[in-house]
Amino acid sequence: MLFSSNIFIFYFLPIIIMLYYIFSFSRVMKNFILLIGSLIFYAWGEPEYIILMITSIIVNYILGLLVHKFRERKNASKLVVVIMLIFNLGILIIFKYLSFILRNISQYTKTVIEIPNIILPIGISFFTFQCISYVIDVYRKDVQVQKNPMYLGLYVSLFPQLVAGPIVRYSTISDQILNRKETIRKFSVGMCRFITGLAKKIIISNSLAVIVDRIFIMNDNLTMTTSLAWLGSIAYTLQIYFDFSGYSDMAIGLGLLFGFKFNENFNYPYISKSISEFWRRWHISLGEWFRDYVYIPLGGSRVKNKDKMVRNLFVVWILTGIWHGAEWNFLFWGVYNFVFIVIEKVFSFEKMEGKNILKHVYTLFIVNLGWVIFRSKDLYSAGRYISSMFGFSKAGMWSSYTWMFIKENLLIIIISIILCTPIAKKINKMVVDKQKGYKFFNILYPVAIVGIFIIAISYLVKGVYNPFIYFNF
Amino acid sequence: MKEFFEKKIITAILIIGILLYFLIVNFSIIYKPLKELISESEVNFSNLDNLISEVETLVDDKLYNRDGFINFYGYNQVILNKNEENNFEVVKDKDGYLHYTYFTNRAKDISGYVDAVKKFKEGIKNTNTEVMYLMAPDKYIRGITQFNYGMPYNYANESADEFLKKLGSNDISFYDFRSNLLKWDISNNEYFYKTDHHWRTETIFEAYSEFVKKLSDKYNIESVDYYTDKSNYNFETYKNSFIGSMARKTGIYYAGIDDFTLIYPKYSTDYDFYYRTNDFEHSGKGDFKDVLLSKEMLVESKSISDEVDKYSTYLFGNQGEVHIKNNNNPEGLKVVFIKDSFFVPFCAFFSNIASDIYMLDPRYFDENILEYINNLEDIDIVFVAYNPQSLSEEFFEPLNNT
Repeated sequence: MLFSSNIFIFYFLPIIIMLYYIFSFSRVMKNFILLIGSLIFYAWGEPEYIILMITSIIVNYILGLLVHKFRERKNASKLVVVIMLIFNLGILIIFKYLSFILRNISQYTKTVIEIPNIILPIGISFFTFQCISYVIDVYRKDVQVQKNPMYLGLYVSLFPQLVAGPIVRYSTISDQILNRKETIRKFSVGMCRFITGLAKKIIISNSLAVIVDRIFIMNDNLTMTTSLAWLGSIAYTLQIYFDFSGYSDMAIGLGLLFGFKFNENFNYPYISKSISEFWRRWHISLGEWFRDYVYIPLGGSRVKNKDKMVRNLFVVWILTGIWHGAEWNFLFWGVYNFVFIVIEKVFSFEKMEGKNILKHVYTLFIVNLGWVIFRSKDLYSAGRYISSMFGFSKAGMWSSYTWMFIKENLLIIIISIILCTPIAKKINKMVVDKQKGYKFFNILYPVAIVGIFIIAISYLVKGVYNPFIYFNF
Repeated sequence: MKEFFEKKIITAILIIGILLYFLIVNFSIIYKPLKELISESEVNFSNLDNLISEVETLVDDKLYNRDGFINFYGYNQVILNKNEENNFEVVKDKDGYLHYTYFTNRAKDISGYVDAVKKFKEGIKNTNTEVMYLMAPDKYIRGITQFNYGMPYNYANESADEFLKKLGSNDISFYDFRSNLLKWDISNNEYFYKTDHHWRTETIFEAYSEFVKKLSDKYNIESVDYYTDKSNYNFETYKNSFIGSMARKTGIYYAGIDDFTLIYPKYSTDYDFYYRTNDFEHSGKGDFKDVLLSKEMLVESKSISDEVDKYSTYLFGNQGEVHIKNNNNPEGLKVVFIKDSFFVPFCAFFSNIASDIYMLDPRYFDENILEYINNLEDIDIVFVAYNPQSLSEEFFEPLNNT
């Protein structure tokens, strides 16, 4: 099931809210309702893979118990962690990477290998990382082992963050499972956050997707001009932000409806003034996961030999790249980010005084180019696309389609650029500090939110173009 | 801080109110059909995918105020001054007419379709039977229609030009209704419906009149002037009544609602009418308006769900196989139309001067077309009658399977 679907908005969400609050007298019942609801949510889209998720929960539950049991026996507990890694990464490799691996072996050894047609279970990258982090946190004694399988199941399968993150750590949520408090303020903030996330996805991201998908098809058909190439890359830069951050907003908002507080996943990444800063603002939960479970265990930056730091960064970015998808362009994209991060570290780029506007332009330029590599179906297409951006297009510089796409989506493009800045934060501060004009925003707010909710559901009911870009994850 | 949360609390209450209201109303609408669906379905793990998909479809189709939301969506597109809607599902020209189009930079390769018609013609056993291709006009009318700058154009007219040129060089006769379109007694831009992809009944009548007069040069068609005289026909206009195929996607505010004009003879007629699509058959006998028209479709529809596609008033729309026998004209032409939807009302008008019309729609006719035709006796003309956007595998592959 997707958040941006009629069945979720009109049936699943109000029913689960109702049931949850009808049973508000019992924490156990509330958690049970959330667990069953989450499993139904996942099974609705992928009935055949619900078994995989339940198996993953049970196995990681048992492994967590074993790690806890052998906590005084280092070798035994280490062995359990290794088994856990083999199991979880094994699932990920089979479902996500096996076809890619076999295809490449077949190509480079020139042997005929039957490539299995494996459908990637939605959210597999998210929930396997959550399971891995749980068992490792138990091993590190950062969290208490969860002896109730229902509660571990709830952590892994909780529907707000199941499909597209954020990657929620067990340490964030363990206390909240039993001791969270639902308040009218949390509920209200959550509902408003959910609606803004829904609007970001349905109205902004889906509109930009029309431009992006058409232009990338033109790249494949060799009919893309330079102007279209730039428009497509900028539109995708905006699309992926509003899609992904929209989903995160919905996830965080939904969590708040049920009293859960998740960490932020995006912090206005397009105001960054370096690639390093960008990755502290973009998909924060993933960056922190790799930092805590790969980078720091390898030694992080606190190594005497700085070459080791470079090696550690390289490993993290290779993994980050391939986490996003099983194709060479994702790997290349990971290395691409690594190169700029290392260059910035070597030249202490972030500490350079002044030149903020130049740093901002540089960051957006590099990120934008990176998204072209990310979006392209393979490296060759990415190379052709980028060469078109710099004037090497066989179709020339200008296309009437460029003007048409901009004119048809002008308001959406302007709004999306504005919303990349922390304008909402500034308005909130204005209201809290009761600055001049705050009453106007107070009156406008409910009208605006209800208005964009109705607009968003009109788009949903109509059945507008609604691509789901997380099928790779 | 209090005001910060107050506004959010008010908003949340409003949203919850909306969600609960829709839940109750939607559930009351969907309960019975959902119960029926589940009781009729085999509920097991292997079938769960299908069942979920059917439930989702039911949920989408039975949504309360679905039409209202679609209309509101269309209204939003008007406010945003959009000339394309939902990923170019439909585009609007400068006069507000809706079009189907797609991205391409050249005309289609039609050589395969020419070969199909040629092969089909060679397969007709009766050497006295003429084979003629009829090309309806495209909604993009050269010299009239203007798209906004940059809107994708599908080169349908250019594809049709090339197709007809190649037909001619293969000795296959054709009639191009685009040639004299602008000379017909139709005011500018009203050749087609604004919200539907079809040409108007008034335009079809002009096409029929011009064509049968041309045909009478070669074939002995009695009283052709009488049968093409508008004063011998009723023109009933149903104002603001037709929500066309495209408006059913975009909502009624995006391009409005069309008028629909029903045209039928004033003089008395006597027909035997039959159609079949798969296992469904229908027949009737009597007057043109009683037998060839499904007048129950002419209900006023102000909502998308109410619309029953008034264009299908003639001959009950697209059927696999149709036979119209004009009992008042036993010496008239015996013809076959292999057609798309553009020629359905045309065939209804044509029946006035024919004795027998057989109509086959390649999309819904499940037998071999050539075999069917060769089993008919004394056919004067076989028409292959399509509009430019029907130059596709779907319409020509059945001609190839001979």
